[in-house]
Amino acid sequence: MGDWVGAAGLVLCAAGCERVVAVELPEGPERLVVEARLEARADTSDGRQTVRLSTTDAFFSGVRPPPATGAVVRVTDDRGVVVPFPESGVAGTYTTTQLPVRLGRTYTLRVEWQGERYEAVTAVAPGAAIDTLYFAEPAAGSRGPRSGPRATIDLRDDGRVRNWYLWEQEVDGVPLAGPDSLTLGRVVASDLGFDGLGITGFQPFDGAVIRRGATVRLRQIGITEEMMRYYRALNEQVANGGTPFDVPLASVRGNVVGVSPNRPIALGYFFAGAVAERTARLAP
Amino acid sequence: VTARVRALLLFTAAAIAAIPAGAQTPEFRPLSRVLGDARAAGGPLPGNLATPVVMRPRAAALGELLRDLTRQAGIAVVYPGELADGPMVRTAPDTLAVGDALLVVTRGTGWTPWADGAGAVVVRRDSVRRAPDGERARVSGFVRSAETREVVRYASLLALPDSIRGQSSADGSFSLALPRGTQRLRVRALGFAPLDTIVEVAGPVTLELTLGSVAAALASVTVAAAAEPSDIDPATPAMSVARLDLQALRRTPAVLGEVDPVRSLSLLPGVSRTSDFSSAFTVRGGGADQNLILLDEATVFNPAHIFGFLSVFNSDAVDDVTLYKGAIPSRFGGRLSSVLDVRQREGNAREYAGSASVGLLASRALAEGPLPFTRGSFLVAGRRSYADAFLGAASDSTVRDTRAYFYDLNAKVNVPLGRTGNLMFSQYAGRDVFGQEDLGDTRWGNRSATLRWNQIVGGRLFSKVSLNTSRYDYALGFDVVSEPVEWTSRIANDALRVDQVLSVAGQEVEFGGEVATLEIRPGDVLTADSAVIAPVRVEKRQAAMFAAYVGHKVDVGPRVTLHYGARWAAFDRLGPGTRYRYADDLAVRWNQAQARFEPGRLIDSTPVARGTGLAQFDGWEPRAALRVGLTPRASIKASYARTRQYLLLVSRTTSPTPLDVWEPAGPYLAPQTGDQVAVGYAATLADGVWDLSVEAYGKTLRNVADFADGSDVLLNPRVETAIVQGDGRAYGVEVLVRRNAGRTRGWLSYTAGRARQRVRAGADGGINGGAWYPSPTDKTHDFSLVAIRTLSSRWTVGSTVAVASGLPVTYPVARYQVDGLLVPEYGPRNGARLPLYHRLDVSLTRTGRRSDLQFGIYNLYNRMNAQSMTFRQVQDRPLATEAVQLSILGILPTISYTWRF
Repeated sequence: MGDWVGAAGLVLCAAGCERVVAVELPEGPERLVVEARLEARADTSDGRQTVRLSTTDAFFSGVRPPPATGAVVRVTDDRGVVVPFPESGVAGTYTTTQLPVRLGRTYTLRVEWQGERYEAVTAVAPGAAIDTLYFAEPAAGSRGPRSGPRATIDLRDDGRVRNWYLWEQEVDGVPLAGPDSLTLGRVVASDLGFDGLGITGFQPFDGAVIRRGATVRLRQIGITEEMMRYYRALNEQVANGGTPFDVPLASVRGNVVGVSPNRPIALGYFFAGAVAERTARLAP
Repeated sequence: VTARVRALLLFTAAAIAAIPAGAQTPEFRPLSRVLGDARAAGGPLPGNLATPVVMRPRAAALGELLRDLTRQAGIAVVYPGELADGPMVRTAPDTLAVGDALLVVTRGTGWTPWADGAGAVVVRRDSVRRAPDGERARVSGFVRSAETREVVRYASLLALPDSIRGQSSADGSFSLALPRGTQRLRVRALGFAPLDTIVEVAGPVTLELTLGSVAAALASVTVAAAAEPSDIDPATPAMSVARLDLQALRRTPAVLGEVDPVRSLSLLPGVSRTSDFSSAFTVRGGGADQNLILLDEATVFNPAHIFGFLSVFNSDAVDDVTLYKGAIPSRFGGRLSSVLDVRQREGNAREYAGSASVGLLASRALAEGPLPFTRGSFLVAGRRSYADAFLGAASDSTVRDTRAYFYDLNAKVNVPLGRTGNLMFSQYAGRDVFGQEDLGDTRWGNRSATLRWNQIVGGRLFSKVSLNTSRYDYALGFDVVSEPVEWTSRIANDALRVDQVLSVAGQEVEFGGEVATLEIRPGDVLTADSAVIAPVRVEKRQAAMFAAYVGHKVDVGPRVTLHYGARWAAFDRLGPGTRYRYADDLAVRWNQAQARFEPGRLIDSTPVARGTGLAQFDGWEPRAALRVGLTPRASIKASYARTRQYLLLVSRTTSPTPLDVWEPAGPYLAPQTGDQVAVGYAATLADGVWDLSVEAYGKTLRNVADFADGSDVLLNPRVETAIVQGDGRAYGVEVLVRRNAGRTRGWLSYTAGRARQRVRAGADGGINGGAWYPSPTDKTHDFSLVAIRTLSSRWTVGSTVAVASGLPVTYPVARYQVDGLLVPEYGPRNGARLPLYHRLDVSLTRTGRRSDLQFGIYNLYNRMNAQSMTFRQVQDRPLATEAVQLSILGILPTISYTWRF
């Protein structure tokens, strides 16, 4: 649907223009930003997990957001097992190798930082396996150039449960969603329309042409319905062009809650999901 | 044509000269004496009574002969409608001055033509039975255009010396209870030359009052034709009504040459648009979906072409656009903020005519004329855009491969039933197509039809029965993993309406009702191969709607008029469907810890059988309007109106899109209600040359909708889990100053207002912490000036100046990074403002005998007005962020040509 609106905007707003302007903005309070994803991988019992903490910054700061260092990070499962996430060598990054995540479990994240306490709770979202990863020409309706190989997958959705998916793609180790790639937004979808069905020839990043010799790693992560709403809101905001067909500007709110007496607001998310992953190299 | 125009102008000028302030009596004498005196004095005959007309050998009713003669000579003649049935008159072939011809055809019939010094003619019965003083008789009939015989809506009537006032209805009919004897009658209507005549009231009589067009007067440099538009009529309690002068609009600059009645509404006080792109409008701080849009009484659910750039109303096929911003009459209901009542033209009942127009965006064609085998008229109009032709020449391949066009088809047929009845069929069909090679096609459009029977019964009861049907649908065709998929949605509404107006002893009682059905299919996604894509069908919504209303208009003494009434409306949401139940009975709940709305927890769901009630709502909507006359030309007014709305447009975007879906009130979606009060002052100044209206209004709205962030409203079977409801309030002052006559005409509109909304949850939860915040449509100041200057009989220059406060915008107070994306963290919603908006449009129109040529420039000095301000990552410096101002329309020249035949 968004493609339609974008295309309409392209055609109909041809007489208009965008202009970068100088605006003086007020500065809000510093807030903690949490990026905490626990991955349940079927192919390994590896307990390696990572939580990244950073803070907000002035809107026009122009530098990488400051890491939130010195925090105490722990994850507790519904059996009461507590796993600490010590700070790694990278500032603001907290890791453990002791948390193999299992479907059916519920996990609670607890963070203490600068005297404030934060919490978030999540169940592990189911996912689906990627049957194959291969390279194919773009399907009808694809974005980007009309020809050129795209990373393509086949999968089968589990018809017994509702599923929501997040896809990530790295080309030679470089993620497609990141400040350097300008792939604005996360590729997410619900299983509405293919619940319980097999999908063949799906190209989650249909605008990205893969160059010969490149190695592609494609990850398919099950997310909760709550995370689906979070990513949809995130996409609506980061790709907001201010056209009549865009939603109003609004802050994105995740599921991390301040539990200190003064109820500090935290940004970001905490979720756990089943991860399927495939890697393939396009022949030179 | 020239003679007719000249005659109308002379008649107009003479009528104005004869009654400069409504205090003097037009001196009517028998026509034979008027002609004799003029000839004896050796001077010209008054007015254009000397215009030669051709009499053919035939036998016809006197009314038909009078109609034929007046059409040939282009003069206005007032005569009772009963002459259409006789007496029968046989005429011999001859060519005579029209004055003499009138004497010839009326000779021996018992009827005599009378004329005044300006050549205005009235046909009166030879012997009038005088009645005792004080006895009244009903004078009723229709006000019609002299040029086309189409009805003239909302014409104001004033009978002197008793100052009895009336107004023609939306169907052109009128009824006055006048004292028997001679009455002077003044008739005024927007876009028509004034008519001042006399009526001999001997008993109940049916009249046809024909008004000359003022279009010629617009182009004249010598005649100042003062019209008295009835939307600022100090003589009636009606207020907060705005009527567009379409003839004037055709001489003002239009975007890409398309005169758009809906776009033009924002030039009126209290009406605003939030984007130069979209024609969607808001009224006095309401939402875009709170306007009831009617085309010949059928609801138009999505009045948008080209994703909202243009409205679906073809200005060639429309002759009246009336917007009720407040004091909404009790016969209307169903929306909170306004009613936009659009009427299609009836077609020329005198002769076959047509027009064709070419603009930069679309071409239009229209044909009209009398019906071939019976009395009556027809009109057929079509419009088709050809943007796709230009897109094919674009260098950008995406644009080049785009298919984008729309078309409209309007049709209307009118058949008179006797002298006091009328049967009307009106139809509209329109379609937009937009597609790209890669994306597939999307199509959307409206279809509506109205069958209406009007009848005046006994000169007192105006009866109207109508059947309306309205459809809106869209279809998207696209591929999913190489599998073609079709996504459709539809809303259907059928209604039977009865409207009655009873005039008794100078009072007016209106009453009626409506029964309607509603069916909404929010979305069906189908594919040929269900093994690849599972079909999705969102449960359809069904409802039955009932309404009844009554209104009473009464004069309380000579200076005070009271119009009060009430409407009762019921809305039954019906099965088949599913009844859902949520924890704590909340479909949406506020998560205080995370400061966000999220879907309520579903407990269970039970099927509901066909015809079984899912939810029932009903309520009273009191309405009242009061006028207190200060002078004959000035009054103060006050009004109150409660409105209810049972349908909500589910649209999360800034402006509505064609792909939005309506959702009816239901178990977890409460109807919206509004209360509005207004006080105002209305005056006509300088003998009707100037109109002045000042109004102050205040309104409160309840259960207005907003949407939870990140919610998916499309194909959502439980869309109530995405909708949050809150309150709204708006207040302001509106000023309208209009000049109706002279070489420079136009109007100035100014609104100072505030619009606020609030979505609360608990003590301190909700959007913006539950505090009031500016509505997205809030404009503190909104000013526009429309001026039309007649340079010569052929050339007219038009201009539009618009100045307005910037719209509210939300600014970030910080940014952060998630998953590699830089995300703004925003401060208070709508806490800042865009820069001042201003723009100047100009046009130059050449009016020929059979053609109009217009050059225009939209946004003459290329002001890049901010439509929005967004904040994003810099493309080549990913860690940098920037503020981006979006402007939609810069300087835009246009040319259009209209040919009439």
